[in-house]
Amino acid sequence: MLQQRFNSASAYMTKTKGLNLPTSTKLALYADYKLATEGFCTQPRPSLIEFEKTAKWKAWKEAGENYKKQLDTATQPTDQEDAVQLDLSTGAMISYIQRVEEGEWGWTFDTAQSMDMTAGVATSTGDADLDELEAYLGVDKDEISAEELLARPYVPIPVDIEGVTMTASGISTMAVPEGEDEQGEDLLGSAKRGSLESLQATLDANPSLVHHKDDMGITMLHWACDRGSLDKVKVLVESYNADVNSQDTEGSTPLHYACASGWPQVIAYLKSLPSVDQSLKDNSDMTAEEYLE
Amino acid sequence: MSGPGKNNNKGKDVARPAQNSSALTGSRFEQELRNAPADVQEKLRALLQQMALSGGAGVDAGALESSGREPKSMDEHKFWKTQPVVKHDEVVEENGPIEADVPLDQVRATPYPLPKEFEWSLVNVEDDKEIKELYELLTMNYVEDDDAMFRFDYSADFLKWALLPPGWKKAWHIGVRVASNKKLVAFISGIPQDVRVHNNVKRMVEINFLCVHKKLRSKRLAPVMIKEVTRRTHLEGIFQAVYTAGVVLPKPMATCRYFHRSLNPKKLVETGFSQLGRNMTMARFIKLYKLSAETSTPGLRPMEEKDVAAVAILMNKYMAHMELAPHFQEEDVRHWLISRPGVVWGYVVEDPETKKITDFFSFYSLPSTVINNPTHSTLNAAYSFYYAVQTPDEELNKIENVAERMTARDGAIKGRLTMLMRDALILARRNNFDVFNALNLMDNALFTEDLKFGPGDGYLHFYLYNWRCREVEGSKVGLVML
Repeated sequence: MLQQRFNSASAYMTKTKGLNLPTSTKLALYADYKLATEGFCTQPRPSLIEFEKTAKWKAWKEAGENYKKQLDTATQPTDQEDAVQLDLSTGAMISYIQRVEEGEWGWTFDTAQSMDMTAGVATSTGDADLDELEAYLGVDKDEISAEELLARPYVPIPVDIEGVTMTASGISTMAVPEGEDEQGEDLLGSAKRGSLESLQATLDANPSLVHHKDDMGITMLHWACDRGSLDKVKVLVESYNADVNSQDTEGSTPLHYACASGWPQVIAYLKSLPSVDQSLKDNSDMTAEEYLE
Repeated sequence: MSGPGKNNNKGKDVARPAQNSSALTGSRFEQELRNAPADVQEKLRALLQQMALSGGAGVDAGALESSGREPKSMDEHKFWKTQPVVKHDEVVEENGPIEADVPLDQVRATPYPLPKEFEWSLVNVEDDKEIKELYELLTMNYVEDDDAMFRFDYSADFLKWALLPPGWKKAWHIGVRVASNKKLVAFISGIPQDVRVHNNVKRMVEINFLCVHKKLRSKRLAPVMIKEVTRRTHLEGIFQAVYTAGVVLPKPMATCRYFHRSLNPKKLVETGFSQLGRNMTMARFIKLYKLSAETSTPGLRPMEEKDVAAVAILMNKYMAHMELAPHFQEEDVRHWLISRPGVVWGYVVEDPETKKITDFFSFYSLPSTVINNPTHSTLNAAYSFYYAVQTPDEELNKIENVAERMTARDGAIKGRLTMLMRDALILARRNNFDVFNALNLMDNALFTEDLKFGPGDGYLHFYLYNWRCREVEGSKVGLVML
């Protein structure tokens, strides 16, 4: 399969005139072609005056050396990709075909041709189910070989179905609670989530929001401390003069929130501020410190 | 998890990619599917089936997938049409096999032909090198969408535990390699298990870990692999199989939903596993899921070899209440339920006075890799496994009305079971798990709410191969597949 595709692609490139490819592309194709058909370059360097020959020789030689290098590094099992050790000619053929495909110079592989070659191969398997199956599914019509597919970057097949809510690997996660709390504008939302910039934009438009308390008595600074967002905490304190000792309906200060949620950097920052009263106790008679694990 | 359903959530910090997978589980989707007109249902099912067939508890393999370039919507439906499974529109009135057993001399003697460039290759699970190859195939290829948030990270020890139970057969650890370079690119496995469905106990094969390399899904290996594992099962005189999938195939005999109990709420939020509601503070969220440090059941201790016989009796007695259940011999109990470091945890309750084993529970570890997260690389998930509590069967049997009897049974075990599972949560937390997962099978519904489990977005469907039976409700499913 790979060989046929390579033959078809190289034949196409030979017969097709007027593509006006840049020299670098031509040389790259030449190098892959030579590696695929003849292997590593062992010829002596041509005379320097023969510019074209020298360039070709150099491309072939260097491509081969690069390939050797790749093989050496690929012996370390790579984490992400498939560390398949392709032999030289397979690798070069795949590389050549990819160049021709990516160039979009009008080459297509005629599947029918290759099917002619395999026609008659499909023989009865001796199992009615499987024969029936093959009649439906067909034998492997895919003209791209497994080796070539493995060597290529993976392209996910897009599937777009509304309402499907599990990850690819089928790992279930917590369903989003459906509830009334999705309704209406969230005045303090930019302190809970989103970028620092969106928080700044909100406050620049409405500076008094920094003192706003929601129905639990929680301010933007409480929220930013709760979420461990040091950037937002700093900006709220330093640029918008947020009240660092504000207490919510349960008596909790921003420092209580930072301690209960366990954000060391935020805790350290708040403690570094002389204005923060670390002795404040909440309604359970607990200081912030006492919430640290 | 990632997907349109959740993208509507305004209260979340993490932008999620659109779903882009070949192995999906629909949750709301399936509910809506049932309400859709028949012709729409047919089309959607075809689409679903085009996507994947799963190996096990959420182990999807993107298996029966068509070529990406020209989707063949009906291919997979056509595959299942050829198979002895209950059809979607079929009403089952009698339990029994769909096809007669095949006499051994009529079982195809040689492996099914693979496409020319591939070859069959049994995977030697006891060999460190080969189990590593399998581990790499599975961890890299269960996931279809590189932007997904999690993917299973089975440990080699876990795979050995899962694939080498009593009676395991090497012939059922079936790999496919590329002939030219011997790379392992596909796998399917079976393990033998006595399974009771309603009143019939059958030796079955549990099919699991079906996986085709994600770049080779167009090669249509999965149908041949399913045929081949079936053939090898027939050769052993077994004609029924049980398997689970996140997707709807013809036709689920039971459907369960995942429930999750946060053990490390902050990490779950940071990884996107959970989301904070709009008015939920992290501080309160953490407090909500706080567990006491010590377990509370007197006599609770790790299960030991000497407990095997008692646990087997306890388990089979408890399982008698279920309509789909494994039938464990002592050797199965020994394999599946005694703790193995990093793989499975088994505990028993020994009555401090009588020294009798009164209850047991177990959970196993199946971590997930957290993809593209700056802080966390692994999510440690514990999955509820088998358990049993005492049921006052004699008294219950005196109650004639079925509904009353079931209510009385629930009332009799709820308190005890809840206490045991709270201890399971505490032990899981102590072992550094971030979340405790359970399907709503067995009697799990009795404790999930009290113990603050939240519903998941995943469902698991149970399937039988060549066995027609009445559908079973989740609470009557006693089989846990890995």
